[in-house]
Amino acid sequence: MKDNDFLDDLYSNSAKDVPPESLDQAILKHARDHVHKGSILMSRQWQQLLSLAAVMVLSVYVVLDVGDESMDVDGLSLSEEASEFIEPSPSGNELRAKAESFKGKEAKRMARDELMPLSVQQFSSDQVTSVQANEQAEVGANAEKILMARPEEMLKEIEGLINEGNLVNAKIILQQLSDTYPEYPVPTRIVDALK
Amino acid sequence: MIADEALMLSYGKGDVESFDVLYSRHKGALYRYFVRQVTNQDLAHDLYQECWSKIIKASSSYTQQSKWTTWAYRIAHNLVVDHYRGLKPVEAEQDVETNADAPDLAHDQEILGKQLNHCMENLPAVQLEVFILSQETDLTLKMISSVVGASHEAIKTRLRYARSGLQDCLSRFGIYNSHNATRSEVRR
Repeated sequence: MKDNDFLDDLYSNSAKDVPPESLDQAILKHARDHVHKGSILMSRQWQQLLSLAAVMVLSVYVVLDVGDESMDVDGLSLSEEASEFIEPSPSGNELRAKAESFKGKEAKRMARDELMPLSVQQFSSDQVTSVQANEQAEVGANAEKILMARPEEMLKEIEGLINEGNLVNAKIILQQLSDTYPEYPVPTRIVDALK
Repeated sequence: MIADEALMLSYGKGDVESFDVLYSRHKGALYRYFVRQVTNQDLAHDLYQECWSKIIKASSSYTQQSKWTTWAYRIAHNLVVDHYRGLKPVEAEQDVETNADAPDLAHDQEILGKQLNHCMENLPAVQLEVFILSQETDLTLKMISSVVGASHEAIKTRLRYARSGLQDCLSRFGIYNSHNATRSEVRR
């Protein structure tokens, strides 16, 4: 036991070696650089994660938006409460089929008369919230667009209405024509007739 | 005093001052751990620096699963094993310069230190490592066994043989013959 103590004393007295100053400095510098590099790496990781998150959000938004546009008219979400007060509207395909089945001036007017009140009814309903009404207005507007896809046909219809003396409706269609196709040249005779 | 583990965790979060404290606290012992086992001083310096590099690199993933000293010396041990594997076979006797006829010199701390170093150099590597760890750190034998990857009993045996070997070696210098008389001077 005494021998062990002596050995321990001898060792502790001789254990004075320390690393050279240059080695200390090199290691401490390395430690500092590592922290600095780590913080830069961390910020880069944050940037990458942030970019990834932004891309994902945008992707989801675009997918939903595209899906929304390509969705059937009937596919637009309506709340259950709204659907209680609103008659189920015909689907987009049905509207297209109807529009195609109507031929001639009279037929188109009938189709418009059949479809137009839907949006008017939805707008005027007191029991439907404004958001829901907007959704329904979009349904009506879509139906209009489907029905009046071509400006030539719209012009023909306007002419027909002028000939019938229905100037109010002719003006409405003309307004729609200029809204939808602002660059389309409207014949001056029609403009003059509706002045 | 802030614990080593807390300092390491703090450094892992970016506090460089914590590392400075940790380094200054352990640099001497860790340095001697290498220098006394690796006779080539340049290699010892390389291993010492490499050891701290590994500690620094592992700082961000450091978890307080064991005592910091155990963890750090395990890194050091692995480095020595990797770079210095199969170093010294157990050599029976080496040319030891006896100094029994110079008791006055033996009292000198510097001479004693040199003689101890000489004896340590002649120890088998596994015994030397355990002896250094027992001297330089506050690790228990169980912790040392964890560091070097040997059983508790093996560590006890190695340490006993290391002490015995050093005492035998030092006695050839005449130190142990007269150590009862010189002990007080050595301690001083």
